[in-house]
Amino acid sequence: MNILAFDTALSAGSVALVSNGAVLATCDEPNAKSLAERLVPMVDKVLAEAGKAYTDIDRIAVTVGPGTFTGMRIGVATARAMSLAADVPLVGASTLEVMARQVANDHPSATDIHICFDARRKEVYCQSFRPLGESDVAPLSEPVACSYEVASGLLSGTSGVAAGNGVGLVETPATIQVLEGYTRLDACVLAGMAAARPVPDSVPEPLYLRAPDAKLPGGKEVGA
Amino acid sequence: MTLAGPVLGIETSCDETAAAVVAPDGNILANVILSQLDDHRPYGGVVPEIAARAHIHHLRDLISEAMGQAGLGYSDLGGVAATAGPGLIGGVMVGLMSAKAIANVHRLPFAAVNHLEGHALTARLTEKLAFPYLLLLVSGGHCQLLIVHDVGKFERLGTTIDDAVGEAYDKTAKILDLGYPGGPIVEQTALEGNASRFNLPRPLLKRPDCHFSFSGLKTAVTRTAESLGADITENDKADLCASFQAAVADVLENRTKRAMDIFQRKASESEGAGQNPLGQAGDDRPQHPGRDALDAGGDSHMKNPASGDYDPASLALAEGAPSLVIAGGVAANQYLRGRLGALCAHKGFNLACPPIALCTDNAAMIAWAGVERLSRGLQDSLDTPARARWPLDPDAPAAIGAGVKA
Repeated sequence: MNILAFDTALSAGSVALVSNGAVLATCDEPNAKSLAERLVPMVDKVLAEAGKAYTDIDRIAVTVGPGTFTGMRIGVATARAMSLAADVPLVGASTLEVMARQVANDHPSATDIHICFDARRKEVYCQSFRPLGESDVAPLSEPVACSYEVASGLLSGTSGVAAGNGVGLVETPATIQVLEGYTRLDACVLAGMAAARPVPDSVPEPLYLRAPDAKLPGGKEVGA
Repeated sequence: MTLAGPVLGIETSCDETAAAVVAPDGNILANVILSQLDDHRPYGGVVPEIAARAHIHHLRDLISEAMGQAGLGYSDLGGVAATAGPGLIGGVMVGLMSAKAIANVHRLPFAAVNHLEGHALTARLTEKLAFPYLLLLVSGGHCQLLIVHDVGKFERLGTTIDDAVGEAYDKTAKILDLGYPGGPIVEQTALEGNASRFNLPRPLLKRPDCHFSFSGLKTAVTRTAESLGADITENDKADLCASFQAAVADVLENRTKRAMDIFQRKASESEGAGQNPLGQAGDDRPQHPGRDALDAGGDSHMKNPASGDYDPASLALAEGAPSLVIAGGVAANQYLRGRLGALCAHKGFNLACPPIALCTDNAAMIAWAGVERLSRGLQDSLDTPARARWPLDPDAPAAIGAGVKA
């Protein structure tokens, strides 16, 4: 199965073409500012390097967030239209899941994996996982956007490993081993997850975890 | 370049999610649109993040629907076009990335369309109008007078130095608590009102240029509403709406009249210089009226004028009377259409107003702009960025007193 996978939801871009577990080609873009310009040419480059056409692709995989709203929409909009035009199924995975799997690949003995991303505005996106099989993870909690304090509370009393660019913002108990350097997502890992997952009944949507910024006239909050 | 088939157009720059398919001969094969009005109504205006979320949620289905209505597969298309700006960047990004993806999958030519050029060229889709013509672009985000010389070649004669005219309508509706969107409501309310009851300002009329200003008018509406106090009646509101609309019409009429004089002066200058009065427009003028006039099969008359020399000082009029095109959402206003129609009759201009559904934001105009651009070989690469600001005439001098939005 040939899987075209890409991520633009965090602070960088990653594209990979993976065939039955073998990485055929990859392309990375460290600059989040130019992802709207770079993404489609990156996909083209990966296809060309792998010697594949869209007709050879069996599945497209994309990260749905959480992350920057613009970044996740660049990836998800592209993936949704690409899968429509190429008539290929689209599988989504969250950025938290992909990062957790990257940790699981590097630390096979880790049982509980806590991922924490900087969500700005003094908040983090966080979720805890357990490894599942060779290429996926199973959630131990719901993904949330929350304050540092709330996230610290969620981690207290737990053990395992913690990673992500927001892990330094929260308090981790001594029972948790903090792993450095997990700031970038790897589209190859995303491809592996997508290969093992069933095709969802509905087309993946962005996972925002936050309501839009909008105030009703008179300063009332949304839903108030 | 002959287009190999119809063009898929995508529009997501404000609060309408839209997809359309237009054939090279101007036949609209599909034109689907989803308004987000209900999503934004509680806020009294468009909320960018809510708009972007709605675009990504709906666009894929709308594209499928448009292609289904057109009865085409993606490989049958001759190109893909999307609004690349100006507009709310989060939404623009959604449409632009979707179009790039579809173009890339089927190796189709791609056109990154300026939303304003979409409005500007609609009259060529609906009226088969030849270049050049005068354009009054009036919408919620823009108020400009331009000479449309050719595809991609605009000469800005005037712009607003503060609010757009549609913005002034929305704000008036908000001040009077009439609801959202303001344009149609104010127009409707004004029908019952006395336009001479309140003497509202007509800003900039004494200035010798063609620029607009509406923020002072908005302030005057606020003051007048405040002076009427909490006892303001439905009659008061109707009178204020009518007075407001009359002031807007006076301003548009005065500025447009000035632009008509400039347009005609330039035309007579280029005739006086011994040029064929039909010269520049000759090559691209539809040879006979009707849908087949811009047919891709007969594209000898669509021969790449974009690559030719272009001198904005020389302006050759099309056959017969010159034309004024009104485009943009505010062009749907029947009162303003009537006033500008009277001006045209007085000045010897044809008035060209596209049907209302093609005046307000839509994807058919983007697909058509794609037809016009791609048939001239004006293709864009798939690394084209989205642009929040994108003036049609980047060489126009800044309007005195204008803010960054102008």
